[in-house]
Amino acid sequence: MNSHNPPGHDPEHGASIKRGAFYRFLGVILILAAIVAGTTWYLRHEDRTAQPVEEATPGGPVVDDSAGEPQAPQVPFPDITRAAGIDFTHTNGAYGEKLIPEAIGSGVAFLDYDNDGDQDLLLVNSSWFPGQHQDAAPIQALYRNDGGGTFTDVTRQAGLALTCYCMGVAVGDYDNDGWTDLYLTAVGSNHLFRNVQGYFSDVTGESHTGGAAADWSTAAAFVDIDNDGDLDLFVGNYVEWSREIDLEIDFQLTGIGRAIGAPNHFYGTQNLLYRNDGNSVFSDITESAGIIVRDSRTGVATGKALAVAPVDYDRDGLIDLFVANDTTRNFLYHNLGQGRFEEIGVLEGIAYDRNGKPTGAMGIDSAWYRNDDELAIGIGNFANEMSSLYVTSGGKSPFADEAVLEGFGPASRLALTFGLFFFDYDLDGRLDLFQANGHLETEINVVQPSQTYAQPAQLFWNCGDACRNRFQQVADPGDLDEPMVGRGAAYADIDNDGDLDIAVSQNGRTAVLFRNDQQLGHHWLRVRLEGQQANRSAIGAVLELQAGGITQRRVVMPTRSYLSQVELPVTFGLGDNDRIDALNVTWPGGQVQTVSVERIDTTITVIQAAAG
Amino acid sequence: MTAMHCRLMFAILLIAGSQAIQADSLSNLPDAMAGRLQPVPAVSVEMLDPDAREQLMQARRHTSDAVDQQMPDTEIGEAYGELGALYQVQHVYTAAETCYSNARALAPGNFRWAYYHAYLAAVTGEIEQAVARFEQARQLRPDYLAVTLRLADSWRDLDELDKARTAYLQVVKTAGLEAAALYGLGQIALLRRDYADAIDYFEQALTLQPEATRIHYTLAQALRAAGQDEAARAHQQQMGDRLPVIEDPMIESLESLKQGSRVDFSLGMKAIKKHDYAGTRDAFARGLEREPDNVDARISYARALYLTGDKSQARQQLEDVLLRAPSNVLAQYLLGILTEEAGDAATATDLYLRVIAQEPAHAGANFYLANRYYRDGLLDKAIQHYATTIASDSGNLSAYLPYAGALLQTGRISAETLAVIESVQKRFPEQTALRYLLIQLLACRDSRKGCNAGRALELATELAEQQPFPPHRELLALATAANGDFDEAGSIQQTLVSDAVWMMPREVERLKAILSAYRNSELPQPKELFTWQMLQAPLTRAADVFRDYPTPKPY
Repeated sequence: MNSHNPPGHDPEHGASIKRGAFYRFLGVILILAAIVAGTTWYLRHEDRTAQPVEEATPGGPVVDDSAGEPQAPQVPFPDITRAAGIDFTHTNGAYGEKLIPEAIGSGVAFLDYDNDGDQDLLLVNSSWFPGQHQDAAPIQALYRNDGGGTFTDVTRQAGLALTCYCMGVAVGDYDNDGWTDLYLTAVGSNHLFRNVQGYFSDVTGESHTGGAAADWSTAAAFVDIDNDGDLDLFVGNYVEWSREIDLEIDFQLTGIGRAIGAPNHFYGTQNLLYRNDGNSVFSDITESAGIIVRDSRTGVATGKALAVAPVDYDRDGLIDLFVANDTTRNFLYHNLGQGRFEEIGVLEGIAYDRNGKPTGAMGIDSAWYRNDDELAIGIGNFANEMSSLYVTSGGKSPFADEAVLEGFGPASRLALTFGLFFFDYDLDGRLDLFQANGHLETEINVVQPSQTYAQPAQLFWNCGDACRNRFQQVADPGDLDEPMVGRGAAYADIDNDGDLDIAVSQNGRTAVLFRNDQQLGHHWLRVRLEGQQANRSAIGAVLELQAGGITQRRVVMPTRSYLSQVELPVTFGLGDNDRIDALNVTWPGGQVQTVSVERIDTTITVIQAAAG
Repeated sequence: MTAMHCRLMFAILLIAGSQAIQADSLSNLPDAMAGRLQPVPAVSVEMLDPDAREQLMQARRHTSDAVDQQMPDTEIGEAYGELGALYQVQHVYTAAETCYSNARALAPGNFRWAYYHAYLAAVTGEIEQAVARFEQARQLRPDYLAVTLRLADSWRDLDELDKARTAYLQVVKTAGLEAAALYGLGQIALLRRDYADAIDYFEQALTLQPEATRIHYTLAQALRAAGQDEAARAHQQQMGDRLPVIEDPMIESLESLKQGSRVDFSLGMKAIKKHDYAGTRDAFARGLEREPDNVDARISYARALYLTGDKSQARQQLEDVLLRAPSNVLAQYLLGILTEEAGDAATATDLYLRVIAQEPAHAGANFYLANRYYRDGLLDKAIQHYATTIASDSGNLSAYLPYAGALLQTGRISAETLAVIESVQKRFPEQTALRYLLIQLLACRDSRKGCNAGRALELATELAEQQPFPPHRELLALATAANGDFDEAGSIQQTLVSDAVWMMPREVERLKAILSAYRNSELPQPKELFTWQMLQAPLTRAADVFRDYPTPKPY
């Protein structure tokens, strides 16, 4: 989030109370009207969406003769939420006081929780604020994929009927038992769930990973920071917040009145790093690991984390952590080895925008999107701030923001972006970009003509070197173009057809599932890794696939986007190539394994070879 | 008619009345204008300070009158333009956009409104629209070169780098625009990875405007990319948040419309974030001239005065606040701090007590009062106020140490206290002093007081392994002794004594006294440990309070 205009307060407090009473009364009338209108719309909408969604007719790549540049292939992404059996509405607890947590939303995660080979869907839920309970307590939502992309709600039987003001999620098999575990972040204590053969058992207490009750945690990631074969846990914290602080700050927008507070009015907080000590016990090594970051002048905590992207940016075999901070500089925790990190975001060029200004950074992802040695960090930012695309040069840092040069910056400027990730939606072998957008303020359009509360998602096609700007916004992305109050976003192949589908969480609204209906005839390969000496989830493993003279480098990394987790298997688009020349896996710890690929257009499982 | 019906009828009348008040010829255009102009709905401006609100309402009435009286187009256009400018500076961009559109429809040759309209598009991120409008404005006044500079900035944002570069070069020799143009050229060079040129442009821009501290960041980026790491680090350390200033009388005129005390107060708050206390003081002084009864702002002014060294004026302002608002808690508290710093402990105590009488949980007053009592040996009272401090502000780490000190001296340390300190230590793991305290408190042999010698040894061993310097080894010796191994404790302590030959004699004696205790199979007295000094009441640092004490409502 970002500052809209300076804070202030109404000096005519008594008068404003009287006016407030009147407006509240007026508000009740308007709310009643809205309920009637909303119910009508809902009923109509239900009628429309309850029908099975036919496979949409796709278009192929198009060459625009006038521009001489290839145009993005038209791939329909129909909204199949209801048809797929997903019926989840996020509860943000908004009751009129406009407290920051109600605007932040929550994440989504794709994971195979029952080891049946298809991707299940977890939708993180928040809750009512204390004293504001309205009906049954909201709980998390876990949907089991029944195969082919239809889902069944299994929340209660899987042990996830948890009520919390939850936000983010991390997945990973932290105990290497072959079952993917879960971590949920929250306003208040966080929760670690051990997956016991498909049932999630809350092991927060014994694992010492709950954090402080006063903390507000957002992003989380399971990563093996020391390559010892088990997954450690990074937790990003946002701001020092309480309802009382929020109300005292009393952030206002001219023309709207009380508004969602800008985070630059709140103190920052420290992130947390837990080392996995085995037996479901973690040690808090935040301090000794160098995760603490303070303002050198004031000593106040600097971080306001909303997202984290773990990636080994300097290819030294140790995973580093890029943290997107809201209205303050982004962090790069460089892994020095032996459980020590150094924060060097400014030095490495990812802390600020092109003008040296911190952005309202929300979602984050990393990728070698040019299929060369240049690593990019993409960050979704606040409205009227371009998304960032920090890219290395010659395979080395520092990063420079090339969002403008790549065509991604100008097109992303107006949107308030939360979820952001790289993925190859058309399976042409080049990573494209997706952004989920949506504003914080329901009435923002009253004062800002270029802004609306609900905003369309954006899909950017990676055109490669054939276009002047590599990223071309897809003009007609089907249902993705419907305005959403987008927050978390993730991808997975939910119907085992080789292409990547998308889930988006909306703040205080229904989650949306989009099916990728591409029929471009492109080949693909999906790879599922299973670590042996390395962590079982193989998080951090790097895959390099050679086909058609191109080397694609991908990382097994569920932690991408905003408060969300993508599936663990890695998808390679092969375009027209029907042969793979080589596939190498570099496991965490450095072991390199060459994989022989007999078939394409299928999913293969690679088990780590015995060491030595 | 039931009461419910009455209330409903009353509400309908109220709504109708409200609409009557707000409706004017701008929101409901007369038929004659409806086809040519767009309506400008009224928006709430309640949050603006009285001056700004009146200014805006007056401009709206004036425009509405011009429409009603069917004045000549140029005059109505002028009124719309002026109203749009006021909306713009108050961030009501939707209304500003419509006003400018109307102004331009009525007076298409007016450069000011064309320019402001373009500038508004740039501010709101509608860059393609901004380019189109800047080009239209440039056609109206080709001689006004600031437009060219802003056009260049917009082209740069749209990746039209050749056009942007050409435009920057057109104005790079123009007085008042050079630094900004050089900065833009540097940005283009940086995007094109032409680091040598980027460095050259940024250095030139910095030479022209050394106060434009944001340039240090981009210069550092270019230097780092060029492999000049040391120079890059040097510039990173100088980076600030000021971009090159553009001499642009039209935009300065627009910005000057930002009037009113709230604008000054807001500027004051921006200055304080940059630690520019003189700037804060001046801005609050200006604002208070317009709004002298704003006691919150007057307290902020007093704080800025203190931070610029003018303590007597600061005191005078706080006393002024208490004349206007005798029960103002923050003013009483700050005056207490000021008074304590001046050496008048009794009056300070009285002021703290007045604060607590009104706000029993006031974290600051309880903390400083506790410190006073601690110093005066009134340990029970000190404990009571430290406990209140911690209960109301669990993040006040300074309170835990003297609180523990007072509890230790009165023998009131409990397992509950230790649990609280341990949880705080976990919450703030970077606070080494808390870890020292925890080890010291755990390293005892009386289970009724929450002793946990094993845990103490675990923590102390971890510390000593991480950093085996003397304080950590002293704690290791203590924890070892608490576990009953006095020989090993003595052995560790002996190495500390041996290493202490260059220390002050008093320090050597202290270490020897502890060694002597271990040799007698006893734990040392708390006062003999190095941690004891940490457990005393901290000095009152008025400057810290005036700078850092939270104020949710600074004006």
